[in-house]
Amino acid sequence: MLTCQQCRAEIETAQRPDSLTARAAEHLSACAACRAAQAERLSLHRLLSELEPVAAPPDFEFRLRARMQARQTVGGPFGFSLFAPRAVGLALAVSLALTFAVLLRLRPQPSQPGGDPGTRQSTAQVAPPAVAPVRPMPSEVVSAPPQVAVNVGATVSGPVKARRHLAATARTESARSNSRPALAPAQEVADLGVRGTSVVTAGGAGEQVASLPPIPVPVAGSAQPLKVLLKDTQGTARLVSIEAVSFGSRDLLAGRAQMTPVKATSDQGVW
Amino acid sequence: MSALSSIEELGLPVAARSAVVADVSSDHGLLEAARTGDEAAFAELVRRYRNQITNYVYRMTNDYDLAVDLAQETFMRVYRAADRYQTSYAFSTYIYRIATNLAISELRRRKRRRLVSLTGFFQQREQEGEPGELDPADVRPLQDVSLVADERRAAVARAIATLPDKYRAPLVLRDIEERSYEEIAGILELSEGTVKSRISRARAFLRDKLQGYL
Repeated sequence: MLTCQQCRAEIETAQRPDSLTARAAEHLSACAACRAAQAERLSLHRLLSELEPVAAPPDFEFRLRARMQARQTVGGPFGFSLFAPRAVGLALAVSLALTFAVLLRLRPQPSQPGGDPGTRQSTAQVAPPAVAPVRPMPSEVVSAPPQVAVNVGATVSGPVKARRHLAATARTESARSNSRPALAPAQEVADLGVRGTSVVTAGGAGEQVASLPPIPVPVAGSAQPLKVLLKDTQGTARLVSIEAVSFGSRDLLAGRAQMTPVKATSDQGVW
Repeated sequence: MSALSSIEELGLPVAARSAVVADVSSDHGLLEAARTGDEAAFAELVRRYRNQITNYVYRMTNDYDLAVDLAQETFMRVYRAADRYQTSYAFSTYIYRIATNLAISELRRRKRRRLVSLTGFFQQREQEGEPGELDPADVRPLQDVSLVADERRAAVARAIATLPDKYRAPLVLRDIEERSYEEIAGILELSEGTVKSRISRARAFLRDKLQGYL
């Protein structure tokens, strides 16, 4: 007669738990614990045999053939083995080229003339870029220079705000300036620098804050500086005076001009 | 010497002739023919094993679309590796081994990706000591017997899917595919003793998970 261990091993390994040897059956008739083990095994067997077999879909062969042909087309006779290294190499080359292109595009642009990138100053202490007073050219006609009011946010997020606001203000001023009497063509030819600064910088370092459309500023009136009203987010306003400069001025080019720092003046100042 | 156009030209006795025919129609013969470019032979192999392999992978993954996909991949690998096939194994052992490896690789990949699945959800809940089933126990007698059977089958399939990989494959091969221990050992490249031990553990797991149905 079998031991319990032998009997359970037979129950476990039999293909069907109810088809046991005579010796195991004899043991079962005398051992309730082994009968319980067999009953459990039978129940599990019944549950598992209830699982209906799953068949492959009707188009299995068609899809298989299509896949095989696709791989043969792409990668030669037997699929990836030949294709994969090429694909990896190609992908690597493309990614390198893209990286190079992006790096080229992100390369810092050459600094603007007179600008000194690197330092950023809060708007509360905006120092205008170094400018030189330009004496009026005899042939230049003085017209009323524009007064540009610029609101600059003084908080941490200020520069972004400032850029947007400057751009908007500049657009407005540009539109306004169109209504002014235009400079005579001869005058424009006489001095190529007869243009308002198209770049607004923050601080003496000359870091570019916004790019403005060109505003014609008559350099002839350079004795009266351009006044810029700066407002921070707390509403504090500061008027900054920026002297006009003409880089094309004959005086400047001749080195006769004196570079003088521009001071903020009271808000009573006008052109 | 001219090429033979029929088996009769070999001049073999009838018994030997039938043996050759049987060999050609065996799995080995078909694969040999497929290796030389006989597409019909390979198609016959696919017809013989497509349902078995699909069913096996389905029980391993509990995902029909994935099972079909992996079954097709299995046949593609058989075709690609036909040159390296060794006749020392039964073809069924060979193809089941490929299918097993593919299924286990996919299961591991899924585990790494930590895909959110119902199966994983139930497993996690069970590990946290909560009941695995979301459905509250319904004591009312169900009118439709087939609904009960469907629900039971789904529970069994889920329970199998939650088994650890190393227990799932031998259990499915033995209790669902009804393969012999020797063949399972060949497929999984394990000793028979290890296979028996793992099947026993797998059944113990299942008994725990399916207490309510036993």
